[in-house]
Amino acid sequence: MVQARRAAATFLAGALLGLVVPSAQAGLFIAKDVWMTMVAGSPDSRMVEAMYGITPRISVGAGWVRMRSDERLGHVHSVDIGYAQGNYLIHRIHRPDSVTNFYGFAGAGVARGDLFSGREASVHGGLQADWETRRWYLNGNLHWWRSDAFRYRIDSLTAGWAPYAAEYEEWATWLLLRGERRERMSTGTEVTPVLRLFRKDWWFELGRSNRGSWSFNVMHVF
Amino acid sequence: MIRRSSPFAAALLVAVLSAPASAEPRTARIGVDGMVCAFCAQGIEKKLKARSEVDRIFVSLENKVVAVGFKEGRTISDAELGRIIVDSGYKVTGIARVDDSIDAIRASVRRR
Repeated sequence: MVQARRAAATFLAGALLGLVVPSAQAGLFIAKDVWMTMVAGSPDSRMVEAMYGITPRISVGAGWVRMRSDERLGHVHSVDIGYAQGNYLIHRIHRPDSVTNFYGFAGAGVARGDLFSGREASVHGGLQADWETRRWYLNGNLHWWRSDAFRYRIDSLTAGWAPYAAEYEEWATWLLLRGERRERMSTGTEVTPVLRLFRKDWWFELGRSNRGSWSFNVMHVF
Repeated sequence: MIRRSSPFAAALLVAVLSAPASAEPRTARIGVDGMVCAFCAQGIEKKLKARSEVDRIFVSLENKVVAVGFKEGRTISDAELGRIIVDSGYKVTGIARVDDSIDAIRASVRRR
């Protein structure tokens, strides 16, 4: 009950922040019986999400995302989607000094937007692969959103480097470079250098893209 | 005629009956593969701290080890410890029972 309250409080706090988030997928490495909550923002999207590990491979949860197109399309429109989602660890490769993960995720929800009236049922899904050591990080993510009123696709590729190998109880520092393409929301590739800091159960990211957009991401596990 | 037990025999009997059973090793050292991110490994600490048998834990990413210190007279089986690590998303490479305290293990890790 306490954990559910914490998840709900984090979720509501994020929604009230009114910040925009990069189209970031919440961390998918969610252990069984662990909650992961995320709030993220950028000028072109906002996201609040809470996920719970029900088995070592499966986590489920809910979220809300607002995605907004940028002026490069010649017009600006936005869509809000409230959704439920399931995540599945397809395969994990453990090595003494690295871990490689392959995930699939899918969900359904209800959308409201500028380009259509009323509400539309929507579905979404995607794939993610990542590889990580204590000093290097690679992540690729493909994410589709579909309804009768819209079709979006967001692809991202992230590479990261840690200047030092942080121990378990230390602050970890990472420098990342994220490239993102948002089909039907933007043109070209937006590149964002990101500073990532985490310690114990808190995770923070802050970036500023080549288009001048600030973005942040906060995650908490419990 | 009532034979009186010698005081020596009585003392010996008392000593034998009150001697403690051989103690369980106080700590389990668990080798873990894939543990490269402290944030992702929080599930391990959460699950172990929730167990009433556990006194303290120590995690080292550098040494790929989770050390679990048990309360007096308590323990968790190797199978159960392995299940906790696997449920947290990791792979167990071995479990050893040692008499070292958590502080001793922490100090030995830092000396390397």
